[in-house]
Amino acid sequence: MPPGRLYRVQGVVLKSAQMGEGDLLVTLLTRDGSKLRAMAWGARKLTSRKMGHLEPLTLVDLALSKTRGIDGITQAQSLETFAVLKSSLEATAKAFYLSELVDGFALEGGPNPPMYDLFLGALRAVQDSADDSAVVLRFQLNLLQVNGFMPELYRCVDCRRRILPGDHRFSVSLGGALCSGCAPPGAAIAPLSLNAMKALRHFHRNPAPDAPRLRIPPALYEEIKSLLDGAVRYWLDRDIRSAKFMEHVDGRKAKTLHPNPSTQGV
Amino acid sequence: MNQNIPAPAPVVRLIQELNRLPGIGPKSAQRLAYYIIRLPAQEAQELADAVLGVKDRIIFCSICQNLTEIDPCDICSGPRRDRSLVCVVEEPLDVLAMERAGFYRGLYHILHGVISPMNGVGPENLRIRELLPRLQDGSVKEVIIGVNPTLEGDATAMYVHRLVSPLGIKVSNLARGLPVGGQLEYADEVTLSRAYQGRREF
Ligand SMILES: [Zn+2]
Ligand SMILES: [Zn+2]
Repeated sequence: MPPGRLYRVQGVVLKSAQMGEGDLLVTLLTRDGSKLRAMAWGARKLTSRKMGHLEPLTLVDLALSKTRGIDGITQAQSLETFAVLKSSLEATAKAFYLSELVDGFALEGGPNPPMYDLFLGALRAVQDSADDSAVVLRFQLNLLQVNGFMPELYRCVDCRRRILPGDHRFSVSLGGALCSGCAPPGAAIAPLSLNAMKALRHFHRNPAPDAPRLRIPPALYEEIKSLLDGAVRYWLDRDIRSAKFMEHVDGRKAKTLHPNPSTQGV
Repeated sequence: MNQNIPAPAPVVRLIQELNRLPGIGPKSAQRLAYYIIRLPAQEAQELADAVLGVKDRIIFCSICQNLTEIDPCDICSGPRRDRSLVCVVEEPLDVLAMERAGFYRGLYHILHGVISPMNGVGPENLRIRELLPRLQDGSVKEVIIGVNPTLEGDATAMYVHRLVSPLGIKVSNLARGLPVGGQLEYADEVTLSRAYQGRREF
């Protein structure tokens, strides 16, 4: 597209960064599943009509102007603000985490429509049931799936034989489940319980974020989470910074929120 | 700068240091550096003294965490301040803005930022914890959260609210309304809905 040409795009704002005196650098996941960075000049001035539409976690319709450098946002109109999600600390913390993962996997100029559907669906699921811990796990597994990093759950990654119930372990670097007979040298192999295996297969077969709720006891949650965290960290090759805050405000661990329990009031 | 002829090392170092300041890009850093190079020695000395002076003499107030030369700061030790109110703000500049407006007589608590999980800034990186000891003796009746109405500001506000409300102290939010001089028709939905939520009886 030649410079100066206007075009429109819809997407979810993943993050925005203040630039210079009053400008905002916005990163979006567009509807085709690619990442787009664009500049809203003067957006932080109080009189600007754009700022409120460009908050992270907003589904927005943008008019952009092509430039030689980074494209400029000329108009912004929010289509869905996720106001209910943003009124819950747990849900907001989860949404930050989902956004950081998407920001990590999405590519500029690299369309991936299923990733957009997955992300939007997960945000809506977090909004509708902030206490459903399975939403994040389901999202992690299916984010790996739509980006081509789906862990193998049905056959041993080493001997290729069908994985039998109760006879399985897991290796992120080898790409999934292993039978107990296989132990390729040098690979880190973690235990994988039967219930964790069942849950992972359930998430894989029911990728829609509004799939039937699955009750996951805390210990099982921790097992699956650490396994999926390991896979995500392996493929992104970095830590997910917002994970710590998500865990910190997790309702089930709310006790740790008061840094000094002895100063707690009645 | 010409790529083939590097600037002398001290100039490069000055540009690099200026470039690290917020809002200063490489071009601005170069302009500032060459401005400083042209300054009379006396003025350059004064600039350097001012920079070192803030590092030597400015400390955090042990009560409100604001920047100060004496601890506690003028506001915390002010005889006429209303000690039942604490307004929680992001930055020292927000205190200046509130004081300039002149309507508020309570105390402050400065967080020095907002929770920004994607940038690795959690509650433990802010001065949130320091708020709790201030609320123990029962003198504070209301905590007013005055952080900026952004997603990260709102998350910070919810976090502070969750921390303070078990203490039985009233927590309020500054109403997020329309900017004075702004026009209703130009306001985005988020601002409008917040202005509506923050409405008060005449
Ligand atoms: Zn095998
Ligand atoms: Zn003070």
